[in-house]
Amino acid sequence: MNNVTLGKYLPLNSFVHRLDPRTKICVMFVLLVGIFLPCGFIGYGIIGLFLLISVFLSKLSVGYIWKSFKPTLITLAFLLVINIFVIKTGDVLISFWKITIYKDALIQTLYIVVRLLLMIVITTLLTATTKPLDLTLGIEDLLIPFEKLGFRTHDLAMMISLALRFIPTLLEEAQRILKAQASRGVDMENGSFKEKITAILSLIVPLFVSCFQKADDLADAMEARGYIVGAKRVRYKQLKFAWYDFAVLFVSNGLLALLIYIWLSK
Amino acid sequence: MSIRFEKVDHIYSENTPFAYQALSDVDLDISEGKITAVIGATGSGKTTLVQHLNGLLLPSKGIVEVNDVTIRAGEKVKDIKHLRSQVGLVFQFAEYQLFEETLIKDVAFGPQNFGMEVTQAEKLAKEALKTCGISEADFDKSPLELSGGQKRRVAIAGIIAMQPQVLVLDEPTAGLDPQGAKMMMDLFAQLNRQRHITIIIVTHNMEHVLSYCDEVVVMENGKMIMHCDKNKFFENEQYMQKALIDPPVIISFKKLCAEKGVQFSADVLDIKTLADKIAKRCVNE
Amino acid sequence: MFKLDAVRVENLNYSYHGDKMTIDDISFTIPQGSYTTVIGHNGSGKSTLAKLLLGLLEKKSGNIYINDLELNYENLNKIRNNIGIVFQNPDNQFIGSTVRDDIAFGLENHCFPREEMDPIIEKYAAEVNMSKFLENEPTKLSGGQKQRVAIASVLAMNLNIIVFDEATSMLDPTGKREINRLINKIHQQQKITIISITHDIEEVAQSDNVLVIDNGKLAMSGKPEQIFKNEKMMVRMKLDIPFAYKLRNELAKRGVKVADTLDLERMAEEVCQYVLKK
Repeated sequence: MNNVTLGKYLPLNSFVHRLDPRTKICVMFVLLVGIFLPCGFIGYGIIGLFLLISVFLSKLSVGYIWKSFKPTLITLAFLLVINIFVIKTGDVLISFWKITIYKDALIQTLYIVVRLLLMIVITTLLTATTKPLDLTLGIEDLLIPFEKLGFRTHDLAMMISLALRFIPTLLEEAQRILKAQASRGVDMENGSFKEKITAILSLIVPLFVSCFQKADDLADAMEARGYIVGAKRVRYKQLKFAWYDFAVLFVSNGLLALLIYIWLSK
Repeated sequence: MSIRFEKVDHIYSENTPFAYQALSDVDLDISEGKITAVIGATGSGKTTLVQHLNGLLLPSKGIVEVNDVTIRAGEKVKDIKHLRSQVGLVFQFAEYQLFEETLIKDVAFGPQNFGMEVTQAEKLAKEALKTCGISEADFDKSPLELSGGQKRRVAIAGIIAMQPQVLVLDEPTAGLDPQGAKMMMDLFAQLNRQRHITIIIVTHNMEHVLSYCDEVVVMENGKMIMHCDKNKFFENEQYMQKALIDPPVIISFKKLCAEKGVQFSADVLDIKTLADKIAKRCVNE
Repeated sequence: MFKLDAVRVENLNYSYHGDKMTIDDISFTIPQGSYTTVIGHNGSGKSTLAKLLLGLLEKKSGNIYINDLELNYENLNKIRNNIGIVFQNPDNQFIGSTVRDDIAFGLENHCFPREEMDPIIEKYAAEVNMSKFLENEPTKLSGGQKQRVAIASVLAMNLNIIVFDEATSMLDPTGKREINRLINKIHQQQKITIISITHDIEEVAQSDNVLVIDNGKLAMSGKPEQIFKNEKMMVRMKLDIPFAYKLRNELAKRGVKVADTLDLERMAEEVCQYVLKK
């Protein structure tokens, strides 16, 4: 569990941490659009440079981001092999035994690798520098215009924040049930297929029962404190833009404009 | 069945920034065939201590011996299943471990995991359920149909059906009403007397310690600071102060009387004996 | 001593599945500013009663008035401005992601003006001695601390009746002591009406009124002394009685008469007088 870095918040004190979550979400979208513009490696270079500066400003270590990237390496290797067999255009680079590798195959793969790398850096930057709850608030605020279309932004945000709130509690619970069943001789690692199924059930069923119990209690607690689904309420937490949020938005939009210019002038 | 801890340390998340030492230098011999209470404040290491008894946690340093199984720090335990079949561990809020469709199936689950045939396991399950006060009519019911206290008794039956020689209970009466708690404690006393099962109970309830237990182990900040006979523990006020516990009512009452000039002898530890002594005016002045 | 009724219940009925009554024709009143304990073994219907008082369950028949306000669908939100509840499980009622957010939750629902929220949150966090922990997440709090936050969250909504549904039963002795002390403090200093569902017999002994619930019925109500005197009923309902009464009964069996008292100190005096009077 501790090896997964993608999506984990790192409590540091940096410029990027202080940015408004809405700013960060917007910048993420701008950059994602940028990545999918056909600007070639120049475009990726520009985005890469921007991200490099951001990583530096966020005080995250490069090693940390590398850790998020590592799990995708196997997929990428697999992709490379497929591309080698499928793409047969461009100059021939190497030819041995029955395999011929064309230049386009390598370039195509490289494109995908770079895109994926950039996207992982972007999401890691967002989630590592923004508390999950602030992220939820940011999404809620950004979705407010959709409320006119009947979209219940607030309920969605409440659901996400409750889910986030209960993740540690449920993990703790799961660990306890796991230990309790181990005491009854359950072996999660060894055993036949049938035994393994039972082992998993012995964890999942109690966890579900406990989840429903918690949901019931929570619903009562929320209702008792005056929560009514869909009713008007005053939100305590407010997000505030600072001058540097505008600056960052300005810079990132400038970057997008530049990329569009490169694309159109190609 | 001997249980021995020798210079045991336990560190959670060792070698990480989150490392936390929960046990340090614990030496302990738990007597066979007795009921031992493990007491101490929340976070003092009681639960960590007892989870070493069936190898759920392994010592970071030192040796844990449970009968013929020796667990040394840093070594892999060879026969962990054998150990777990001998030491039954009941978790706090044990009712949350039930998962089968019927009580009987759930209780028979443990013995089957340790290699017993279904028929034999179900026979043991029936016995265990009866011992725990579940009526036969309920055996084929779903655990979800029972009340909280009943569910907990079923969960305990699930451990008893494994026929352990040692029964470890982590706060078995938490959240029960006084009547339910008393039934539970009576059950453990009965198992101890009739089947000579060694019982270790983690508890905050001093009235239970006073009425049911033989020995007391006191934990504080990961260290075992005291291990003695129950009577000796309750007779000595300094011990209780050292363990930072609220004494049972009868002890507080005797203290109030002592302040007013009436001393009852230290071995008066239940209300009937106390009433006898008062009625006979049999006191030390 | 007490003028208005904080809670008035008339012929209340409730059943889960329609067959057996979980709450069976219960009527009682609870005066404002009083400390009432509700006892009965698990499954007797105490928690159901608590949920009915908050309108979390819908009654089958009968009437409930909270501060003379009838509990019905239209009044529900107003009712919850008058009466709050602290449940048993400290984890399952912690709604916000931090202490601050959790106290804010009720204020948000009752549409308190945003500028007023911070001072209110800080005031009640101080009241329950949790000011230092305002930014803490629930996983970093003990059970007792979480219950203190639950109390602050209820107090912050500025209501005057609080139901405690076995609020200390999952806590360790330190937590229990803290919460009991806090309940006494808010009862005395803020004149909050307390309705406490409890198994703690010493807490019952100190309360103003006791309601005994058995099998969905109100078996008895009155002052603790009256309740405990009825030893036969207490035994039949498998309820505990306080040490002082137990000792008095044991002594009576042995032909020794001492005065009725629930107070341990006074009982000790009585016993000493008897022993020393040769």
